[in-house]
Amino acid sequence: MDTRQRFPLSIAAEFSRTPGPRTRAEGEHSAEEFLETVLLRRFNEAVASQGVLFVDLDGGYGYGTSFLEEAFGGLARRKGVQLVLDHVTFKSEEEPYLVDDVLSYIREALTGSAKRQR
Amino acid sequence: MKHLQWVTALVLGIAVGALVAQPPVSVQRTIDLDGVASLIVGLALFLGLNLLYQQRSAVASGEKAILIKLANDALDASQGLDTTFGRVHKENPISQGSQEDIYSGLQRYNNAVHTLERSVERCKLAKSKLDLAAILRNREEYRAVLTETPFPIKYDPESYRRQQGHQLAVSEAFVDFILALNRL
Repeated sequence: MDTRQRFPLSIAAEFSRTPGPRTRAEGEHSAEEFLETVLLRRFNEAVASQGVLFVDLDGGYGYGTSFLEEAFGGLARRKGVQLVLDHVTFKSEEEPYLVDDVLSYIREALTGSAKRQR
Repeated sequence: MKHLQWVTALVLGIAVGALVAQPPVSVQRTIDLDGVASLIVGLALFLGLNLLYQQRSAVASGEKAILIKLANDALDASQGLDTTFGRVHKENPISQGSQEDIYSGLQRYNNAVHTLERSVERCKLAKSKLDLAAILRNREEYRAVLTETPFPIKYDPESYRRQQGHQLAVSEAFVDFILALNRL
């Protein structure tokens, strides 16, 4: 069992229940905005405390592939795939398969589908 | 009528016995206890194995029926998504209600695929012969086609053709899965 300190982050409560497109230029509540205003700061806090950022994906209307890829794949491109995998965990009871999808965006952040979609 | 098969078997047995017991074949007038014991043990074994086979066969056929129903549910969910997309893809910008319809349709479809995947893992059918890889790959790709940027603002003009291509791939993967299941 992981005994490290947990830093909870609910996207619906702390950012938006209606996450938008990939970039700021494309519209409101974008993944780029989420990454730069919320996710990076909260991730840095968790890493500095040797803790885990516990991301709750529930509570919103749904996520576009581009939002999840840009936010979490983008985090992995900036901070490194392994560091992100070591310090971020996900929860989704409403859409459990989302967790696997997000983990694949992180693993493939520097290759594969991330490049294809950009 | 319920015992007709047993009565028929008895009558046939007597008739065959009477036919076989014609000269030069002689029928032993005493009971061979070894033979009777072997017959009873053989019969018990046959009935036991037959019962076991029938039970397993009933379980397998029940599991097959459940998996086929789940695959059909997922196929229906993908077709519902196709209808929703057909209705909203020309909106610019896409209204909040239409975005929610796409998200909830995707959730219904993804949940149906998720349930099917879990059920295949849990059932005792030959999992190695059931290939879910195409269905799972399509699930993720279909999600990307429907929600890739510029969604949720609008859809690109070529998105309709891409969506139709994926809808076809999704349908074919489910049909292949159901046919493979039927062959087990």
